Formats: sequence, C-alpha cells, structure tokens
Amino acid sequence: MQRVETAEWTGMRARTSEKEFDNFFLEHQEIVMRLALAITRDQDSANDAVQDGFLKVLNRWNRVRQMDAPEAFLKRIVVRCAIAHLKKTSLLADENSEATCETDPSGIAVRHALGALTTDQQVLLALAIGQRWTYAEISAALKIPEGTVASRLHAAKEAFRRKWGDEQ
Amino acid sequence: MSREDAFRNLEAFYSDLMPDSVDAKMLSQIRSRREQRRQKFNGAVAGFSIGGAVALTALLLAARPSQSAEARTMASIARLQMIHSGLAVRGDYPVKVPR
Repeated sequence: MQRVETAEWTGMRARTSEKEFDNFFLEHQEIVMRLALAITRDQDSANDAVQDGFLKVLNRWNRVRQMDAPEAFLKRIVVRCAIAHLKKTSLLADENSEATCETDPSGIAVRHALGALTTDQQVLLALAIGQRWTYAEISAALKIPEGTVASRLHAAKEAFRRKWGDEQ
Repeated sequence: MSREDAFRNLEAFYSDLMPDSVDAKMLSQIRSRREQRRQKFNGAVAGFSIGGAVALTALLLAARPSQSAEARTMASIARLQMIHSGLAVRGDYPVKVPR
C-alpha cells in the first residue's frame, strides 16, 4: 500500500515538474529566440539553438528550477548553442555569397560586413548592440573578464566600421 | 559614411531582425529528444551483463583511487548498471572487496 502511495507521489511530483518546465518554456521561448537570432542571423539556426538550449535545461531541470535566476542560466546556454550553430554555418557557407531574404540594401550591407568579422566579434556585437547586454552579462555568458569584453567589443566595433566602409 | 552611420545601421539591422513565431511542436520535440537520449543511455547501461558488472566492479573497487580515469568511469557505469537492475541502491557500494 505504501509502495503504491510512494509511486503515486513520485508520479505527481514528476507531472508538477513537467508542468513547471512547460511554463518556463512558454514564458521564455520568445526572448531566447530573439537572442539566438541576433547571434546566428538565421531563422533555422536560431530555432535549432533554442531547441538545443531548452533540451540542456530540461536535462538539468531539477537543479535549474531551484536556481535564483534560471532565465539567466537559460540565456547563457542558448548563447553557447547559438555560437556553436554560428560557427557551423560559417564553415558551411560564406555569407557574402549566400542569398538572403534581405531586400533592404543597408540590411544586406550590414549582413556582409558582419559576415566578414570573426565569430567572436559577431557575437559581441549581437549581445552588446543587438541585445543591449551589459559588460557584466556578456562577461558571465562568455566566461571572459569584463575588461576583456570591453577591449574586444571596441575592436569588434572598429572592425565592423571598416568593413561597413568597404561595403559603401 | 561616418562611424555614426555604421552603428545606426547596425542597430537598425538588429531591431528589424524579428524571429518567426516559435514552432508549436518545439516543446514536444524537446521532450522526444530527451526521451531518446534517456533510452539510449538505459540501453547502453543494460548492455552490460550483471555478472560482468559485478566482476568488473569488484576488480575496479579493489584498485587504489590512483587508478586511471577510464577505469573509474568503467566502475561507475558498472555501479549504475547494478542500480538499474535493482541489485544495489544509489549511494551504496554494491561490492565490498576484502583487502
């Protein structure tokens, strides 16, 4: 009898945990999709990165749900997944020659200029300018000191400005 | 083009980057991928025979902690297999090896 009650209780706890994860997913899916898209600049890659990120969170859900800021953990994971997808797509295709659905000339020029930067520079610009993250947030997500974030971001902006100039 | 123009265009590019709505099937796909992963793990663990696991665990537990990481990993897998098959409970050392 006690065994049955224990099984029921375990099942109930699992269902509650599932429900909590579903709510967490619904609450944060849009914000992390924007984040992934800013980094990858590609809808399919962003979708894959978000799915990979949520899967990693689900695998650690019992620990993540007890964190003070589980959304910060999710964002860090999604950033890393998006970087992995960005590196993968950079190897497969040259963005300068890739046909994008972009029709705005300045949008195309920005894509080309970004595509000519290193992956690290693209990520820093996406987080600092696209997502308006602070140095502290970027530092935590990329696991680099804030001073390094500042100097690398400065270099990324300069590199972007030069590439942008070349595009004009 | 000035520096300001470059960054104005960059900011505009990011703010125009609108994601499609999240695929409604994504949540079920995530759960399905997790289930596949769990089954794969269970399959790998169950792949060890119980006798083999006991022998391997006994052998490896007799070793000093200075054993290679690979050997310790193998011992962990053997222990997991015994937990999975009900021969041991989590937290217990399933085999005591006399010195």
